[in-house]
Amino acid sequence: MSEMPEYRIFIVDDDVSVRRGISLLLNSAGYFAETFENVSDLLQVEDNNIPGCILLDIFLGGESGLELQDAIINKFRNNPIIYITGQGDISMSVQALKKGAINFLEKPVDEKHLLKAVDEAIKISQYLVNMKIEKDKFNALIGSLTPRELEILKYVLKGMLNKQIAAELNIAEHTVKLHRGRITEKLGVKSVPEMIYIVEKSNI
Amino acid sequence: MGLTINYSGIAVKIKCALLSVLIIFTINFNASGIADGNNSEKNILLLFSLVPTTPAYKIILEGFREKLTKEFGDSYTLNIEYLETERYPRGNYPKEEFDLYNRKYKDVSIDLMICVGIDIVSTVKKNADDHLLNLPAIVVDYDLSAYGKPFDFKVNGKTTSINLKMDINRTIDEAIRIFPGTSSIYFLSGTSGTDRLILEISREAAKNINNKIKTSFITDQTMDDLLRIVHKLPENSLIVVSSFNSDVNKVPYYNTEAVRLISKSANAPVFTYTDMGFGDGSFGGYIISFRKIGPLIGETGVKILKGTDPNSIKISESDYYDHLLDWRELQRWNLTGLENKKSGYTVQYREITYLGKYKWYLSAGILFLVSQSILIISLIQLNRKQKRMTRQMVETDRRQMDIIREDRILRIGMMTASLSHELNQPLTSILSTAQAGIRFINSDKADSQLLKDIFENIVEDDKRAASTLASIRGLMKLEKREKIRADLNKMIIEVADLYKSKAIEQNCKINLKLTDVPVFVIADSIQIQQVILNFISNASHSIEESFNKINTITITEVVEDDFVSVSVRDYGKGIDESISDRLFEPFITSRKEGSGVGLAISRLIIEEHHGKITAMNMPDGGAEFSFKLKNIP
Repeated sequence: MSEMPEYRIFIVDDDVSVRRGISLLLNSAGYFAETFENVSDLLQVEDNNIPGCILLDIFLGGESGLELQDAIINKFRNNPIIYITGQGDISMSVQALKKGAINFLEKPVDEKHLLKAVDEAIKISQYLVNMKIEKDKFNALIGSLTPRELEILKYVLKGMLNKQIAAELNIAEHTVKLHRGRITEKLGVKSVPEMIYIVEKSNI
Repeated sequence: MGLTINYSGIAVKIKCALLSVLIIFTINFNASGIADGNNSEKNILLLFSLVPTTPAYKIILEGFREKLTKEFGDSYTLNIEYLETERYPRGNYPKEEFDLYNRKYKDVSIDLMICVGIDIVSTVKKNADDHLLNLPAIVVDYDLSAYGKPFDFKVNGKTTSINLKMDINRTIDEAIRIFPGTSSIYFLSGTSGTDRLILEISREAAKNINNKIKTSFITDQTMDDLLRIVHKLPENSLIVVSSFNSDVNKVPYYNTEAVRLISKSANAPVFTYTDMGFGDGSFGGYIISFRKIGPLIGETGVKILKGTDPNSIKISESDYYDHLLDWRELQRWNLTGLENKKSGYTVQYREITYLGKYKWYLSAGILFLVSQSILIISLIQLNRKQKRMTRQMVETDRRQMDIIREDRILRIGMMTASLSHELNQPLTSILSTAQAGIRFINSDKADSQLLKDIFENIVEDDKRAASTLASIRGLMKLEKREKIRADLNKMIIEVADLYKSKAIEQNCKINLKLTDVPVFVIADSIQIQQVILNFISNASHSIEESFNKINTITITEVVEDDFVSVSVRDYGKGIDESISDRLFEPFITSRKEGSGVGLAISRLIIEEHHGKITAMNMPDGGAEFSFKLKNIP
């Protein structure tokens, strides 16, 4: 973490002193944490491509945190869940991890484990967020192409020569050349491999 | 007849028929009685030559009387005279005796005279007067003419002679046939006149015995000597007791008695000529039977009395001889094959086998054993059943204990989970906060206000943990304490008094509805009071938090059947529906400052007392908490 990225950590626990303690600990390590008493409060928060993680008590007022996990994952796709619980139950842990939690911490949780888990989660989150940003960018680039350019791009990606594409589309070879020039210009690429990379990363 | 009214017509008819039969019978009976009366009673004079105790006479009389009674019933008179010629053989005695008889029977109408005894006719003829001598007569005497002793058998022309031909040779021949290996025969005799006479003819008869068989005659011995002799006779001997009425010392014996003694000590089988001794040790064989002679005389007498000519009555040897064997003697001398009917002998005194002899004892014994066995078996079964039941009871008890224990383990597990959760929260907080503090100090970012906050947080969490532990201690301390018979009323009153000041403070009233008499339960009073106190405390909190201003807490005690229930009722805010089904679980509470262990403890206490605890919201507001215990009289 050479440059200080913007990130956020959510703590969800029904016990106010636990929220306060963990948040203070994260604070001391340079993280900023937002605390929530329950899941529905968390779900009010906007997701905005900021890397971070969610520290979630598996029992929230007797309700299983697992039930609300789906809602959390749907909302915060790039913010991994770390479970914190006093009643580490193997089957519950397995369930939680299967469903997408990335880690499991037992109360009382030691700073070493907590900070390591949070650090890892943030790195993963950073990667996920970066991926999302790049994907969004490539999507925008592809989106800027006209339907004809998109059509020709497909043939190019198939490895067809200009002459072949022209015959296929029943247009002049020169016209194909013009379109290709426009495509490389719009996508900001110089070679076909670069073109393939962008298309692969995008939603097409 | 009054009774017959109740009977049916048929019964009456039967009764009438029976009555008429009875009447006819009675008439006939009377008619025959009148007929007998016309003939007058039969009068019989019986003369015996020997003493009254002679065994043969007893037997003769028995058979004789039987025949006469059968014919004449009671309407005959028997005059019996014993001449006792043996005892007083010499001098003028018979003459004097008959003088008496002659006088005695002079004017008596006698229908029949019977003379029994050896050579009795000569004595009678010599001494009796004409009145007696002219009577129809039966003479019973040994016919020893074959041995050169011709006796007179006729008193007069109206005499039936039952002359008992003594067939000694046949008797001995049959004895030898039974014991084929016989090499010597010993004739034993007493010393009385009769004894000597019979011995004399025995000697005569012995002459006809196969001369390969040695014959000896033993007489003029004391009984003791005789018994010693017969004890040591050579092998293959036979003993014949010809007659024994006295030994050499004039000690009198009856034939039967002598035979018994001799047979007992003899090492050879004993034979006799007559059945006097049969049954007393005589082997039997072909013998003169006085058991037959009695009835024979009786029959002959009846015939004569009924008008048969005495001369015309003939007697044959088979009328007074018999083939008899004593079964016990057969066993004694190890003889088989004679018992069946083909042998021609009648076997008597067949010893009833042990089975037969002790049939009743045996069956009683078996019955006893069987009943004992049945009793023992049923007792064993009862015992087994009891054991099985005990085992089942123990099993059930054990299973119940297991359930209780498992339940307790489960509950402890639940409690531990709750406890660890409750403690983990402050511990987590303390750990995180403290570690944060250390980090702040290490990074020089710690100002005094931050550190103060940190320490305050730690203190707060620590206190919280301590209070959780304190509350849980109540649950943990609930070990088994001694329960005694105690008055529930007293417990309730004490708790109510205890709470009085607090009730005033909380502005509520406690209303007691208790029974008039003490209600006893087996309990740990302190624990039960703890439950009641918990109920009251909950009720007062509930009142405090509700808007309803009915501030009365009512404690009601109800005794029904074997149980007593105590309920604490309030009109407070009632039980929070969200926790109503987990109300008695630890750490479940709807109050912010409640620990959630009060009702859990209460449940543990009541269940420890085998009671039941319940809680419910009341339809008209508030809640009722109650417990039920077994009421001890």
